[in-house]
Amino acid sequence: MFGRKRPVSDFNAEIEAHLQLEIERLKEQGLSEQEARAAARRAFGNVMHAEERFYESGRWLWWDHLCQDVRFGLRMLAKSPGFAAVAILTLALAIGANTAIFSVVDAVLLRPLPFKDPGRLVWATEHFAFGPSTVISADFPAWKDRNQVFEQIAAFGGTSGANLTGAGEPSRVTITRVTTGLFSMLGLQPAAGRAFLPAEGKQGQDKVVLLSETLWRNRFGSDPRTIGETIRLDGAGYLVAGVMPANVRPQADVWTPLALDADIFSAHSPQWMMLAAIGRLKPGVEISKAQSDLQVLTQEMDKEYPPEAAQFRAHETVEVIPLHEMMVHNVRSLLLILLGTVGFVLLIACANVANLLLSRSVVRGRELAVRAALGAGRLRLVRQLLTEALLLATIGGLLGSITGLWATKILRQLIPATLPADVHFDPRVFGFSAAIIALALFMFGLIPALIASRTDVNERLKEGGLRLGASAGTHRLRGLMSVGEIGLSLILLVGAGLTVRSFLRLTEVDLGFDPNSLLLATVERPLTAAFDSQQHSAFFQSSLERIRSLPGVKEAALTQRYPLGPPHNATMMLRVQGAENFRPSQPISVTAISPDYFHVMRIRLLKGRTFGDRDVEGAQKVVIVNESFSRMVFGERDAIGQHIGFGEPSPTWKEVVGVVADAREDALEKEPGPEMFVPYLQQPSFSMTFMLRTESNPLMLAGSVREAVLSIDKNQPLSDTTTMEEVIAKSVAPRRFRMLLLGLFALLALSLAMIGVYGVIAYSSTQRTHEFGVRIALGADRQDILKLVVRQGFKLALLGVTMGVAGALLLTRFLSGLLYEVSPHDPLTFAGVAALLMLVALAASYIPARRAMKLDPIVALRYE
Amino acid sequence: MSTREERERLTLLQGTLDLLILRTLVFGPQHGQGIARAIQQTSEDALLVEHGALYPALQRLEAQGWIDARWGTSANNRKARFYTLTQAGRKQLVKESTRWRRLSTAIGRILGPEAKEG
Repeated sequence: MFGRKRPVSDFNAEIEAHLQLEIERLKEQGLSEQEARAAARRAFGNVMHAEERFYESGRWLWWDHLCQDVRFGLRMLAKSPGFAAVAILTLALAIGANTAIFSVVDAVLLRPLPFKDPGRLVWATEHFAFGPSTVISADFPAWKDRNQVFEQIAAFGGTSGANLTGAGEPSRVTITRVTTGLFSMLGLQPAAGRAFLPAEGKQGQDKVVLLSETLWRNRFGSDPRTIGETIRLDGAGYLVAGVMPANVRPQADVWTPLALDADIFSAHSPQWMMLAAIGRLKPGVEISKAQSDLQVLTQEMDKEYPPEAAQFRAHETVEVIPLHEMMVHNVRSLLLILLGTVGFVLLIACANVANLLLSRSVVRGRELAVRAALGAGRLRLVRQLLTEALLLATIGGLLGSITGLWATKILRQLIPATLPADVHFDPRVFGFSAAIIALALFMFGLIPALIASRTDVNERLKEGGLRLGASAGTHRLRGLMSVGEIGLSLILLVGAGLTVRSFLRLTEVDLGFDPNSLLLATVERPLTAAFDSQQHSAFFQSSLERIRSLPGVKEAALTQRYPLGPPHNATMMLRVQGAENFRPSQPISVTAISPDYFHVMRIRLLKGRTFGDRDVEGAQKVVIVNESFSRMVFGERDAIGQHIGFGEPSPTWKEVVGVVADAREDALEKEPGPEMFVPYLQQPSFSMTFMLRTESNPLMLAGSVREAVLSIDKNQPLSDTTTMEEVIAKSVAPRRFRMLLLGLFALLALSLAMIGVYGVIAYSSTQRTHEFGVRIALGADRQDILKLVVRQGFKLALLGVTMGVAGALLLTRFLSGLLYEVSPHDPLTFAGVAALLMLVALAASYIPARRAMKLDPIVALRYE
Repeated sequence: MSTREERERLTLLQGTLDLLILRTLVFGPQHGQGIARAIQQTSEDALLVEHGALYPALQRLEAQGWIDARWGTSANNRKARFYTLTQAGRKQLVKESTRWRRLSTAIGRILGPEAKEG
């Protein structure tokens, strides 16, 4: 028998016989000859054929196995839908959030501005000791003509409003005045017609206008014949030269050229314009060189100005920064914070999915052991597990791309309108997030696969049951990961908690006025060369009378500027009679109001009187100041009866007749500053807002207010109607949005961490079922078992919370810019969040603990 | 753990299929296709052994002298190679029965009703 070699033909005959037998058996079951033959061959398998095929083409076998693995993997996932759902959801959320944030960061911070050769574009501005940073129009010609550093430099004014009349109902449009070269320097081409000609930057030739594509479409129906027509802005005729596309910055409805030979560009002009300047550096010129060059030019200009301007021009400095930096300045820190946040969420998600995979591989230890016992190679096992992990990544990634698209749309709101960033869902960014997740899955899919394939199969088979594949190392790894998850989510929760607390603080702020049932309707009179103040005052006065008598209006007043509204006039030039050396330390806002403004707003009068009917043009000039002003200027002295002057070098003295309480004017966050109020009849303004205290929903009155104004002047539109509540909501909207965003991510992190802790504790108490059984059998109290399990969760939580608190203490200072009256190390938030996490972790371990407590010792002991 | 022990375990493991074959042959001579069917049926289709994988195992057992083979005629009058358990094979089966049972218990439990999955 030994050494007797069987001929190959004999072996082949045996195989052939096997196949024949199988075919006959199958035919008996009702299969056709052909089907039976195919089925028999399939059942025989491809051991031999596959070996041949393997040599012919290794790739096909690999493909075969992959298909098998994928099919099997899908079956396994379908078998435990809970696991699959949690894993896939985790991945989808993390990938989606990451894609969205990275898309925004890429569009705003990384991608160059959508202008011609944006690398050499810089922003230049002057800083004065007081007041906003801007370029004074009288300095600009020197910059433009005498600089050595720019290829080109252009400027534009702030956006203002103008009444567009002519065809149809009058409407209010926004208007920005630009130097003629601005658009061509930025490389922005008109969508129709032509851009400004250099010659149009001169007085007399500057009555041309460029329309925005939006205005052209909405108002003129995109009619090409509009170009060459004349439109009327504040009564003056302008020739329509062309139409600019929607992405043009600075944004406006219409643009008109700045005539550089106009008065405002002379140092001796009674008023100047505040400009913004953008320049294109000559190739090779450093920014610092440009800055020092402009600084010298500006200082040379000082001697051109009249002596009264000396104080205001003392210590001015010039700053030049890259245009991109200037534009993203406000959002950069927020975006980086969000980037860090989603990074943490991504880490937590990875840890969680890894945790899930690890616990599954342990549960599946027995299955893997059988497969190994039946001859599956280690490589095959590893590949099987990896395929499952990658399946999860693929499905999670697909869903993630959907959440990503959705989230990108929401995040677009983060970007200020001035920034010409085009944010869209970026497939590259999506690929990046998906690749990170896939890599994480790959790694964590690999670990259990290696553990499973390395451990002694025989040992596991002998142990039998669920304890197969138990490994102290794996368990420690999982414990560490959930500690990390708790720590990271604590950091995020603290961040979110701080912003929430800031927001709450803000909503509790004492406004100083009553915002309920207040309608605001702003009217801006055309700014014509012949500014007839009497005429404007008359218009506002008769409008106010008519509005007051409207049904549903309880009270009405006029103000040049309302709280939390657009920026306003402020002056540094303040003289106090008897204290000639007094200099204000900050700009003081001046607001023209109608006499009953304080009453309508419910701003308390502290001393003296409010304005009355006698405070008109020609009478003694009077002024009311707020508490801050009184404290800053007069200290302990009584403000009433004092005389002050402002806004002009040689002042007309005004008598202080009243002191009112402070109100939040600039922003809810900002402590009230010094303010002065004057009667609008003594200091008329072309732009006023009607403040209406109404009986019911304020917005219902908007229509009748519009009609009342039109009945006084049929060419006068309303610029804006809104309610005070809306104004407040709008002023806190960005903060609210940030709070919700951070809160959302923190909650996501919290739930992920909770799942993580639950998984670890639930698994380990299943592992210890036998031990618990023994303990109960030996007389352990069920409460003891409960404590035993919960203590384990408590340990993980305590470690995680400690790490998280340490991390948060280091990181929350980056949030300080987003906080209001809350310290980045606010003990209440820290303690609250730590307690919350401990509770959540304990709750997560309580569920498996209860299960363990209810164990029947007999069942538990048989469990082995 | 010594290498020797490890090798022994591996042999035992590889022998899982071998022992399944020996056990099938306890009930009398059988040809390859019949053995494959029997394993599949008694394990309630849980162990889907590729028929082709059976033959290397049969050859191994034959070489060990635990089974004997001769050509014969099947029930439906086909020529087939029938395998019989030899005396040595029977002894081997008895000798290994402890480990066999333990293994089959483990496998039985493993292939038994699905425990709850994580």
